[in-house]
Amino acid sequence: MISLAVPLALAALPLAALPLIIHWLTRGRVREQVFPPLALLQRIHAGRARRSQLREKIILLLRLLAIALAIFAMAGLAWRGDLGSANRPLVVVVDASASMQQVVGGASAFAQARGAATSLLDDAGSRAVGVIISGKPLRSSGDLAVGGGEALARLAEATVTTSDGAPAAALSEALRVLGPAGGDVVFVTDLARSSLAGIDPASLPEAVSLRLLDIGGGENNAGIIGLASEPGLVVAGRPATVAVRIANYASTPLKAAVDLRIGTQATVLPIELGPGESSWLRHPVVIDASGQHRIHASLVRSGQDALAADDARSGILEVHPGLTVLVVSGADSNELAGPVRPVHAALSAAGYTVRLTDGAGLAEELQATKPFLVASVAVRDAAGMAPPLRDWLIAGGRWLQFVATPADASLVLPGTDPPIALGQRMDVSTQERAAQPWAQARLEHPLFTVFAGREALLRSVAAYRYHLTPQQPAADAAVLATYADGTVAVAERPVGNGRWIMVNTSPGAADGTLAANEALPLLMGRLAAAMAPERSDGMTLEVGAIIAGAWKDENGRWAPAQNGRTTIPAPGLWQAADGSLVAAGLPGLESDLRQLDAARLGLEVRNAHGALTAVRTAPWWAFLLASVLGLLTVEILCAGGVGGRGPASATHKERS
Amino acid sequence: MIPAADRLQPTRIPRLGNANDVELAARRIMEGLFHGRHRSRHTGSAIEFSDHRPYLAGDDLRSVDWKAYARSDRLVVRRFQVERDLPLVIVIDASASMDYGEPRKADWAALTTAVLSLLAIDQGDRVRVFSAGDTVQALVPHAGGPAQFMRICHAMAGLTWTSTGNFADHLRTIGRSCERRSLLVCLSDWLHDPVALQPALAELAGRGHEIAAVQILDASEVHLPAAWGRMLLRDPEGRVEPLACEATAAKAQYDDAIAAHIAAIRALLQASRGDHLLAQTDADPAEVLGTWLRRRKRVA
Repeated sequence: MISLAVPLALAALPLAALPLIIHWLTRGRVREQVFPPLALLQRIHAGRARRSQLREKIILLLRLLAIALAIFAMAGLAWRGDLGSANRPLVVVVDASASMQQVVGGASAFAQARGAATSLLDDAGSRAVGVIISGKPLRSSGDLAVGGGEALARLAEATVTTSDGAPAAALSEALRVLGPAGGDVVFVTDLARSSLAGIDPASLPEAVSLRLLDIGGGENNAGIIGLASEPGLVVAGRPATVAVRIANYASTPLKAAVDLRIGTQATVLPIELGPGESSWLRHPVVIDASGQHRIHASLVRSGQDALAADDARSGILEVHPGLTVLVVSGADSNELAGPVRPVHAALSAAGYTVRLTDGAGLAEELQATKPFLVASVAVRDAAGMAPPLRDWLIAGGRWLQFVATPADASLVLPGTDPPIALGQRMDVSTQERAAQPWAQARLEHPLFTVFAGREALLRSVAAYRYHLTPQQPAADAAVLATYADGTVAVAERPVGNGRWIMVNTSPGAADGTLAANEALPLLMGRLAAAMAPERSDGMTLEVGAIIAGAWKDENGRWAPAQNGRTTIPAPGLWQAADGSLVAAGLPGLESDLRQLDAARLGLEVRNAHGALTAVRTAPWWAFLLASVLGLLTVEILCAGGVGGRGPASATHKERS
Repeated sequence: MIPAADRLQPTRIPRLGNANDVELAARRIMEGLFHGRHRSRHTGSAIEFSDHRPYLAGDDLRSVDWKAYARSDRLVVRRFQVERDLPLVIVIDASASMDYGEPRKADWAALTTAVLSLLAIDQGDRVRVFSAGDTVQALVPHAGGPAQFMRICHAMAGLTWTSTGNFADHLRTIGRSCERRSLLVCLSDWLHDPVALQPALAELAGRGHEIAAVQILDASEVHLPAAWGRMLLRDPEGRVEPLACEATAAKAQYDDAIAAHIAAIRALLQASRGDHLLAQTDADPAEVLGTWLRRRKRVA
């Protein structure tokens, strides 16, 4: 069955008559010339006149044919082959991911995919068919049915999403629909890089065959794929940078500008990117007001962009009023005694707002204070404060734990390994023998960079340890400093989205400890740099992210919430009932329209018409070039005009 | 460039006879009416000894070569070659095909007629000029002298080149109209069918005429200009249907064909004991004729 991908291109079919018109026009313009020995030429010509005329007509016909073929090629003329066995059930999965919004040949990729899927279902005949619209949410026609009425109906009402395609979920649904008997699965997709994310073709059941139907695209797209703040923690009144990441997925250079709006301030940042390049654009800011600030970046470019959805991105910049450190200690806030005293002093000297708490009601304290860091030393109620501390860490909090007392050593988060697995408790008699100096520290770590050139200061730190430590820290912990005997002094590890630094040393004022030799204030001064991320990409959530509470878009429409949680359905700004804002954008990979290397996966790829050869993937100028070359070949092969050399003969002016 | 009409002014015609080595002569023995400088087939009272023949009763005893009789004891009679004038007949092909070229073949033919006529008249010969157009037309009577030259120049200036007549038939007619053996100089492009020409030329040769064919062709006829490109070619005499032709493609084959045709005409003339001169109109007629006549003289 013959089909066309771009039927509009057939409008150019009258161009095929061009050679005919040129032939007629030029034939009328031939100059006349008197030539007495014309009989000679006629004699030469006579034998070949008919052949010459025939050749002329053939050349004309070939020219017409070459142009017509080029036009048909540009129109995507293709022979649609059978997809799969004629008697096997067929499930068509239509990619409805965000990248399917891209414009391919004048129409959206999704519209074309839907058309191709409809054709497949129409041609299915007596096969049992089903259709699945991949994306979030996934939509399925349900059980297989002959005739495809439900499938066609589901297809007709399908719309493109702004999320990723969730292809793995779609394939699972397809396998479920097909059942154990198996069948054919055809993925109709733009072959964007994430088209088959999470799918391993090799692990498919034997009875199931997977084919891809490429509807094209993947060119001429640039987009804003990221917003970030540097450093990750922006404090009011302190310098920061808003960074915008631009990617050019086209095969041609991009010269554009980014219109960046932070609150009410607007800035235009020019950018030039080569093919396939991406880059961060940085704009330094100092924001005096704390709270949430709206960021909006939009790409200003000339020419058409295949995917307009990623040409703008919104974000919310959280500006903190200051860096608060919540110090949890058994010491009374009015009585800075023991090891908490030097910690408090060092933090205050480093410019942090220090709040003291005894750990009771820590969860509420954290909610109210929203501290930058929790530091614990000589805690009183280790068991009580562990659960809220764990939750806070998982949610992205930062914890600096000093192991100064036996209670500190017993502060174990439920289900979470500490960075340093503490060993047995020392008795009093071994305390002095355990007092060893720090031997090594990772000076390249942000926490210790300040000690570069002052290594002696660190080495003079002597342990005042209540517990011995094993040789090996936790599996995912990074050792930052060690004792002379090789045991770990300082280590860190991520917990959920947060970070936990454990210092196996008392910060007390005794001789040889951190506080005694001025190392503690230097370490405390580095906490912000070491524990806050260099960059925060959290200004924009991905569409499809699940957040607590109910959220409405800028038009006041509430997103459906379930069990107190909302799945962000579309890009843009979303506002909670309490007025807090989040921004959502396209998933990064869905902006990346680069073609999937399906051949590497060993999958059969056909074009939108079921043809094995992807005719339309060749650029239009290739067809033009091929036509010109074809015409030239025709001209060269058929050149000869009156004819080639042959036996000469005399002329006859007079007929005897 | 001097206009064709001006070039036919009698005072402008180059006089080839001034050069001692240029002479219009027949290769064969001609049969003039008056005494002249050319050998004739007649013997008689003349000063040029020809040969002896046996005495026959009735011969004039004054013609007996007594010295020969003394040597051989046989009576022989001395014979002398009578020198007569050269009956020059110039035949001009007045067909439309001659009205072609740059310069025109017709102008070249007219000028050649004048030059040859002047040369013949200077030699004391008599000249007739025929135009072979729709019909054969004697442009001037058979005569010599300066007045005849003036008549010829005048006739040339008034000649038209529009006919489509049959040149072979015209040659036959002219050959029959010449009572005496003559030198027939035929000025034409000779783009005629050699098969049709052959009987006519044979008849002329049989009548004792010597045919000197001057084949006048334009350079574009000898070598088809490739620069013409695609053209619609038309026969000036309308014998052939107009033909659309790509000169570039046809050139090689045409050049071969015209060369073969010229060779065929030359062979035809040689078979008729005639002479052939190929002349291109871009050459100077006096120079071409001078060279040709010198060559004829050497061969004679």
